[in-house]
Amino acid sequence: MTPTPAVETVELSKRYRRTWAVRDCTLSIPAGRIVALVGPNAAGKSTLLRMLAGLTTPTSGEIRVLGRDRETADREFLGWIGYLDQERPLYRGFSVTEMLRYGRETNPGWDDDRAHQYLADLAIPLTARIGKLSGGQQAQVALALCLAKRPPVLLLDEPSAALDPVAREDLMHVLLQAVVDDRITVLLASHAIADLATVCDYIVILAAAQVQLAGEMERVLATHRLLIGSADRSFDLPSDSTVIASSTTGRQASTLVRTGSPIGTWLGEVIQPTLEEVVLGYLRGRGAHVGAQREGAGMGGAAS
Amino acid sequence: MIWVAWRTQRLQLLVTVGLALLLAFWVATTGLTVSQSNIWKYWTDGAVFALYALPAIVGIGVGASLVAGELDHRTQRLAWTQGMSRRQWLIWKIAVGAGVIVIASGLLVVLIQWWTSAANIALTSSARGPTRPVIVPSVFDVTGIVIIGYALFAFALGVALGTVVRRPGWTFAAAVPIFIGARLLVRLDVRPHILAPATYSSPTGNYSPRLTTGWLLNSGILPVGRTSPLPGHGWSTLPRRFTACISAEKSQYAQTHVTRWAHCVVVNHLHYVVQYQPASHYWPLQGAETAIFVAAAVLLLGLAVLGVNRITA
Repeated sequence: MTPTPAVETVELSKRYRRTWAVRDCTLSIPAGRIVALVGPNAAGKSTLLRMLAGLTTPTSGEIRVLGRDRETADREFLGWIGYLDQERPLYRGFSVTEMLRYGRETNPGWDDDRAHQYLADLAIPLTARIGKLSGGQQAQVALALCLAKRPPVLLLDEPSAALDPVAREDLMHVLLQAVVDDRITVLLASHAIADLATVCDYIVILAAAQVQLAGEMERVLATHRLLIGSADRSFDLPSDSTVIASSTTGRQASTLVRTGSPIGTWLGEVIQPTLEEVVLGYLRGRGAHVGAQREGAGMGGAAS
Repeated sequence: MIWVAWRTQRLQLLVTVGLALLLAFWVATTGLTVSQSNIWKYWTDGAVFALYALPAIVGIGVGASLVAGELDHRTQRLAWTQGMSRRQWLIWKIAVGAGVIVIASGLLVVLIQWWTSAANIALTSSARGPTRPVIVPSVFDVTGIVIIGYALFAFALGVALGTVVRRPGWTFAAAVPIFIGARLLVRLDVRPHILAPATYSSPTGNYSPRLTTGWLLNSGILPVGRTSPLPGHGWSTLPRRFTACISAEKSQYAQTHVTRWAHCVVVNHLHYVVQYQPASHYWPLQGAETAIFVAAAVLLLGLAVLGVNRITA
């Protein structure tokens, strides 16, 4: 039996006047995953996260979190999600202690010890005014608020942006630990693909307001190949393969291909792309892939 | 939740309380020494203006920052993703904000009531002749209980507009003319008619003493037997036979203007009519006007709470 996906969207769309911020987004994200949500600026990542968090109403489509439709579950729904906005809004006049008190008073499931432990590990002074902290420290306070809420689904919009490399790594450890301990699901929107590659096990590529690719990381990497060879050589691809993107430098061409079967004869290199190369390939070739490509669709992918 | 609602508006509410205490202090200290003779030293235009303006400015200010302040700083993205619904959040904030405003303006109301009676005036007539009556707008608006209604309405206006305008500065700028318009509308078109005004007529135009305590609405010269103008005529239109008499008499008698008028009134079966709200209507009108503004406030706040879920964060 397929377990309930943690986050499910069906044809989710959001339009602002004439532009589509998110279009026909259909996702089914299994529980217990750390999901990388990648894409260029203005691809719709933030809008998607805001819709999942209940801040923005979709123009059309459905959202289901832990199996419950977002429309009907309200206060309960808010208890299931933790959201960190890109701008990391906090009340600048509050002290850190007051900010934690705010979290405690507005969240039924608040874990005060966790919040204090998290901030103590980072040596963030509790009596300091939020406005006087550095950008990185403010980001950590905002993260502490999300984590102490212990929600089953965490929606983080660029959480690493203000953090130094050590803090970034520590954050990834914290998230991994939370997934292992509490079996939460984390959606991370980020540009730092290299960071994500080590931690995430599910990827969603969003570009031009549409989902270009969504699937388990292992499957994605297993089904994509980078073909490197001479630019003027043609090649035969198996019938179930598609070219995602191709770039040429001089007489060399490198082509990202999505395929289910092994590539046939090819005089050149066939290598396993890194996550970064896959993502870049999809972002470059995005015009050619309107309509979601869901890895493992129709094969019980949610269960994998 | 009370702490959250208080702490996120703490600055605005402390300013409100501070200003109220300042005003209260001023009223209390002057009230100890005020009397019939020196009342005009204290009841200056400046003081009256402060009492007109402050409840409105403070009310709108607190209301404008309640929602619009958060939207402007995008903190609603934090506030609306915690464990309580938007409506709950807004209701608590409104309750604390409105509570402080009602208490602050209530304090002022009590002190001003004490002040006016300490001066033994209630600003009615004295042995030395008529002074300004209590039900006249410039006094009515700053005594009694209406200040509470005005302050609450200003607050509600700030809150409701803030959900639409989304920036506190612009909300304030939009709320001020709306507030002034509403106040003028009620004073000019509603207040005179809440209770039927009394009329006083006299053949000679000598005012009755009871008019000195009333609020003059209209006066004119009308045919005997009528206490309101004929349909299509205003209060200020003089009957034709009266004007004819005046111009005729002008040439004939070298009398004073006053006696000529009195003569022409009597001769043409006219009388002077004054339409006014008597002093006895003071408290009913206060209650009615406060109720009007409180009802408007409740309506605006209800609209804000109903509409908060539609705001795109």
